[in-house]
Amino acid sequence: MVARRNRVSLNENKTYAMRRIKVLELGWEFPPLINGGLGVACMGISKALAKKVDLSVIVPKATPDYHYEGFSLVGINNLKYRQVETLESGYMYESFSAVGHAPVNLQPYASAEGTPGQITFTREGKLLFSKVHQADLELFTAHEDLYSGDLARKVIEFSKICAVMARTYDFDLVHAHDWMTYLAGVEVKKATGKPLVVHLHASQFDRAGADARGWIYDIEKYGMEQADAVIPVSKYTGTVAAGHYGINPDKIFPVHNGADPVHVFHSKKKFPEKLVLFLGRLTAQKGPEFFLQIAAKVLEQTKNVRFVMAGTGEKLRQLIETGAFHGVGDRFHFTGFLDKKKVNELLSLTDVYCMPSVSEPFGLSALEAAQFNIPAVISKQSGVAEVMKGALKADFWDVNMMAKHIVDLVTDEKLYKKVAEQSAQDIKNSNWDTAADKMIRVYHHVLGW
Amino acid sequence: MNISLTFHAHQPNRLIAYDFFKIGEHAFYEDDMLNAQVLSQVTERCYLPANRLMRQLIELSDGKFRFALALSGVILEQAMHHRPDLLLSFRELADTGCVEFLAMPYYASLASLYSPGEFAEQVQEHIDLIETLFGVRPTVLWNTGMLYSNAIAAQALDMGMEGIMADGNRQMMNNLHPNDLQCAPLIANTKTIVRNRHLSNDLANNRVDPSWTEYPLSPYTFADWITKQEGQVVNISMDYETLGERQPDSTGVFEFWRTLIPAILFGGNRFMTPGEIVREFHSTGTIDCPQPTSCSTFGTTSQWNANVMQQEALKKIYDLEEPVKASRDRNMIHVWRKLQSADHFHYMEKSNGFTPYPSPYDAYIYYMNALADLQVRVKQEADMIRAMESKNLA
Repeated sequence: MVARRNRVSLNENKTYAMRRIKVLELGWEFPPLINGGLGVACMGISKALAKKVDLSVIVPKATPDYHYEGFSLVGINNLKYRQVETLESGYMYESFSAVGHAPVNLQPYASAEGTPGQITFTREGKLLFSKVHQADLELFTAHEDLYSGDLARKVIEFSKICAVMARTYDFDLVHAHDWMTYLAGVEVKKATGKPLVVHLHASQFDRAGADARGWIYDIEKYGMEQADAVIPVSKYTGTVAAGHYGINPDKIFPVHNGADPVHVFHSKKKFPEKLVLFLGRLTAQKGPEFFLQIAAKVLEQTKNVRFVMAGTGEKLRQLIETGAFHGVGDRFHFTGFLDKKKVNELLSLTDVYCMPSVSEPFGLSALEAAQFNIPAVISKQSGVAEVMKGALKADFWDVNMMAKHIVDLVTDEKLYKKVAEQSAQDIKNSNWDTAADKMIRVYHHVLGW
Repeated sequence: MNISLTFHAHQPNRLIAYDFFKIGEHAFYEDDMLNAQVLSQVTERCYLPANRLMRQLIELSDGKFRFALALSGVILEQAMHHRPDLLLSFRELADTGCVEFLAMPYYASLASLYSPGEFAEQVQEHIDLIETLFGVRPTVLWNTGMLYSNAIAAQALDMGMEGIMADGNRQMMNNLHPNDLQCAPLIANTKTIVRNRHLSNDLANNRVDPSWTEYPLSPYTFADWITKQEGQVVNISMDYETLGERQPDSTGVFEFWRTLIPAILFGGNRFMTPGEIVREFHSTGTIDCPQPTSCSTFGTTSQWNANVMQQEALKKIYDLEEPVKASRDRNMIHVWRKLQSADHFHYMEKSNGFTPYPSPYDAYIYYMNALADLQVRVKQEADMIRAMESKNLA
């Protein structure tokens, strides 16, 4: 025993060189199939990690013919039922029983392969899960969006399949991204005894507010409790994990996201006014109503400005009417959904970026704007505020302060230049390699190497 | 009985999907292709066959059949660009001497509600256009959507109009007879011609409604109703598009009118145009109409200005009046005026299903973007003028 400990301590400083950590990563979205914010982040993390660890990734959906530099990626949608059947023999699923609610459709339907996704209760009221069936695999081969349909069942089947697959992988720890993969992470941990690291990109607290409870909240809480380390994307999100989920702060290790360098260009505006941009889904979390109020306040003080709200969401129509009500309809423009090319075109025209999010785990878009040399006015309730030291900040609800910042930026050239220069400094350290190094330190901590 | 028949024709200038990225880039807001296409379609189905029929009826009746046309400046402009044959067809009607043309705000706008000065200018522009095209000067005003109020009647008087058309909705008419000429309070020289809403709707809507108790309506029955009317003159008016477009040829609409007009004449009735009416009859009473009324279902202006989007768009377009006019750029003023057409605001009405846009919100967004582009251009021009003036001073 003593000898073993000695060996570990002797090698402590050499582990980087001696042996690469083997990581099994569980993701949900992944480019090129899905290009949501989570997917982009997972891609950035994987690429950077793969330079320093042996990385294998499992996701629900992948294109079999796509090659990733430095790591392997398996999509459940490409598995054959027979493979799963073989893997599954002699395995008992157990971890799900700890999840309080059973949100899945409890009306199992019969098929040639038996009854898929069947859930039974033990005498103690615990949930038991049946084996994976052909119909379960088809959840991931269908053309349906990963988040639509019976999402709960997809999450559970993904977990089951990951657990049995993990037994064929050689790895040191499992790293799971957001709640959709947390159950899988816990199940893998229970099946293999390997430590679990969960990554918190966005929580139900950000999406649905402080009172959010329910199945997703339960899974997030359970996943973080079972994990050996939690990596939130910012200190701000770390306080959410500790404060709203009751997670022990000692195992929370915030790691800021990076930003992939983008092709930066500048275009000449076709109108004389300054352009202030809001970019994001039009949901309560992003604070689009506040942006409208800010715009109205700014326009009271200077006419030399136009506002653009790019993106779409359930609040779009209401916002259009509110804009009309505020009498800013000729200075406040809605673009609807824009593809990446159009977003970049817009950024190349933008003078000030505004992100008044009510709760923003990170806020990558502010970094992307900074790459375009655009000064940002951002809410204090965002992760990116920790990175962007030069950005002007205010509480999301403080529309007067936000408006003042914008007015200052569009009227004071000296200030504008200063803020733009500071943002350029701020983004220098915001890359995925830096983020990956920090994650590897967390791995070492968890493994005790 | 005397009967006056007026048809109103107008086609909107629908806008393209004018998104944010176009602001400052190009000043072509209108969907020329779509507008030309719709005009052509309605010309083939409605205007040309209807004009042909009306001319035949005039000739067959030796000029006893007479009627009036209220053609917006916008549709005449569209016809000049895309269907000159339609203009020719209207001119042939004018040449019979049995068709009177009514004055309108050129752009079928709501200027009468938002800018009296602009309203007067648009009516003047329209009168000049009608005179150029058809050689006669209108003397009776047909405001957009038959918008009418005491104030609008007073404006018609200022413009020297002998008459103004109004829709006889119930609250306005009170106990007055719809077939008699009226006057607005303190306005003696411009008579108010009230549309017989009931009988007009029978022809424009009910005729093709199987649930109507009189369905199917025989032209002889309707002619009989006219004959039995009381009062000075029964005033029937509707959209010209009723003939062949709203009521397709297959509903027998042209046959109906071909029979109806001789049947009315046979009943001993006399066709008069609005101009003839106001010259021949005195007004019998005063109607007090402080709030604007229109010929819409509810008789109000709600289809154009009830929701916040409509109100914002209207406010911002009329806010531009002063700077646009200061530019003295005729082309820019024309573009600004075309954006005043009531259709733009009607497309922003939430319950309006008759729209080229995916939703009233899109209608609003495209409109406001186009308006923003115009604002940019107006400002550029103002800056240029100022720069030139200061140079001259130096």
